[in-house]
Amino acid sequence: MSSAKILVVDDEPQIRRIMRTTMTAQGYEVHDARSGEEALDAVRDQRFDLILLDANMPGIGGLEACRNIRASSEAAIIMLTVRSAEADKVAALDAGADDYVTKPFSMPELLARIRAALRRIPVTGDAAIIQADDLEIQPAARSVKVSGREVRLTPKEFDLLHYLAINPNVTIAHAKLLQAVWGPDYGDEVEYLRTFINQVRKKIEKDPAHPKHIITEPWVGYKFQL
Amino acid sequence: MQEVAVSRSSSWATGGKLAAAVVAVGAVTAGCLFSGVNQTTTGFAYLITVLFIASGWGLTEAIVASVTAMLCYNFFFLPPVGQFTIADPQNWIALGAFLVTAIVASQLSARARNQTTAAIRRQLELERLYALGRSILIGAGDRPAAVRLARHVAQAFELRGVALYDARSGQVYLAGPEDVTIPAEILQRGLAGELDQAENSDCRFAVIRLGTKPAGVLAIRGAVSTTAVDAISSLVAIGLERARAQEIESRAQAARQGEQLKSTLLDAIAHEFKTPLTSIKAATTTVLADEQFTGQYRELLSIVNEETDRLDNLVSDAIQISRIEAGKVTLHRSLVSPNDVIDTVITQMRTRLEDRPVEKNVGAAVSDVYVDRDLIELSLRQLVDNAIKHAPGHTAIRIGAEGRQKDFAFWVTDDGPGIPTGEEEHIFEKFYRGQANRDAVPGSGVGLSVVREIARAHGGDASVASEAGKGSRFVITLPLAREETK
Repeated sequence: MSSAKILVVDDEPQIRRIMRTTMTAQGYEVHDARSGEEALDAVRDQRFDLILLDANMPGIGGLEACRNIRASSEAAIIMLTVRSAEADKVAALDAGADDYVTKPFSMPELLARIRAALRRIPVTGDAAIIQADDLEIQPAARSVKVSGREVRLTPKEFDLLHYLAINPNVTIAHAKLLQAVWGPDYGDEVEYLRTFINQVRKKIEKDPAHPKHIITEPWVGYKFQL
Repeated sequence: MQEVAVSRSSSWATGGKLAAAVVAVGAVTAGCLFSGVNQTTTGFAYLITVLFIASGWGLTEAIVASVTAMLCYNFFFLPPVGQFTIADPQNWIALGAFLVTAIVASQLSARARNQTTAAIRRQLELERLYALGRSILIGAGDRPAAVRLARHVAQAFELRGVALYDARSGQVYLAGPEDVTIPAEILQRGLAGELDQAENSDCRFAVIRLGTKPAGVLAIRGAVSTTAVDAISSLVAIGLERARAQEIESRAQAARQGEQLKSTLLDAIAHEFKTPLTSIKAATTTVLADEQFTGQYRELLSIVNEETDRLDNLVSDAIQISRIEAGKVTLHRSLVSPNDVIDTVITQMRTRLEDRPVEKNVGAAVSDVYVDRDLIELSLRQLVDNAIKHAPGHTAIRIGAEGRQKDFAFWVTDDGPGIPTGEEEHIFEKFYRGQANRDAVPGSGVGLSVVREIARAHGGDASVASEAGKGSRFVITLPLAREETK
């Protein structure tokens, strides 16, 4: 896993320098970009496993860059920002980020987040195709079809849907779901689930406002209806 | 000088008119004599002449004309002709009737003319008052309002001199070609509210009132009626009032803008600090994560790491406080455990607290509260910081939380000197600093006002109970938000 390719996007040279030093030492292949525009160019030319994206940059800025990257790439995206307000987190996640780290951060924490974002739930033993009405999940190919039409999910979105689908008809608590999909360090980030479930619903539900597949259990968790 | 010339020229005019009246009567007499008309016709001719004179010139001229006409009528036409005697008593009646008619007619026409003149004068005054009102309402400028008002009054009424004493500035403002002084006695009595209007040989004085309170005295030299003086003084009062309101408003606006500018600047500076802090924090934690650094190196790096956190907290607080001061409190509420909040605050304040004893006191049955965690932590940090500054170093600081029937309270108590009676409310005012230790204790006087702002943004409040010499207990009460059950 440590050979993953990471793109660091930050307008601040010192931060790029530290990221490059630290992450190269961790065995990652590090590239960097100084702006959202440069990042878009880089993503067009090559494939990255993960993008560390600063939210406050001159030019198109982090959120806009995130939306654009997400439109064409399935790379994991971690947003870096100085704000820690709930609304900003939700904005970042809505823009398509998988995770969110507030500056200043401790490096071990960021590395843990990077590992979590790069983590894919390995498809074990039971890789049978899951069928629920018009929805079809193929774990081996990591693909999802709605009424026979392929829909594109980001890796985290897929893991979330897959995890819910292999435990059907049971309400899975927020913390358990977060730990299963994001990793053991997570558990309190209920807003991640809210955002990601909304994204998944938009892609797989006929009427996202009245979902049939993923049901919300208020204050408890989510449930996949089979 | 000018006035003398005017009165002389008007006396010349009056003399001329009297002579003309006599000449006119003479002409009629001559005309009637030569044309040989009878007595009655002549009488009517005289009457018409007198009426013309009465309506054209005035009462005096009319009376002079009618007496002249009566004499001429008597002398030239009533028998015996050529003498000032009258033989037939009937003719006495005719003569008397003639005189009375002439005088009554003259009086009527003179009164009509006077009324017209008065009406014209009133209209002129009204027009001038209107012009004055307009210039007061439209006028704005960099000079004091009283200067402009005095000038407007002098211009609108073409006055010879105006003096306006503004009680607030304590200055007299002059306008018009002549200098007017307000006698000290009138000024004093006017401002004491003992008189409304006064007059001396060459000036009228009026007291300017804002509401019922005297706010100044206006002195006017020139031809203006009493009613006009009343109207002028109320217009001037309106003008002063308006200028005062504008001044207050623009001062408030400047203060608001200053506050906003300050908070925007602080916000920008604080964000600039975050970038190098990020580099330092990332670098330090990277090295700390390396097991090969041990002993003194680990200790020293830990200090750098902790101080980076502290600096980061200070910068975050500065950002928050500047936003709150600019009135931009936005709550990001979530369900929060009071116990966790207090633990976090104590951890964050550890270095500041040193080895000072801290007692945590959270009731066992305390449930989670729906608040903005960052802001509540910020206010508790402010309260703990306040206690550290004011209570002696060895005394304990107690921090706790308790759920009550209708609300929820966080509190911080210290064993400091307490707050002098009468200052309990003031200490929550922005920039207020305790009288006794203003110079001894560092601070800006912002912390407690921010605590109160945050509590109020949550729908609660901040208060203090204090006993001199024994200590203070600061309490943040928060309503049990209904959202909790949502």
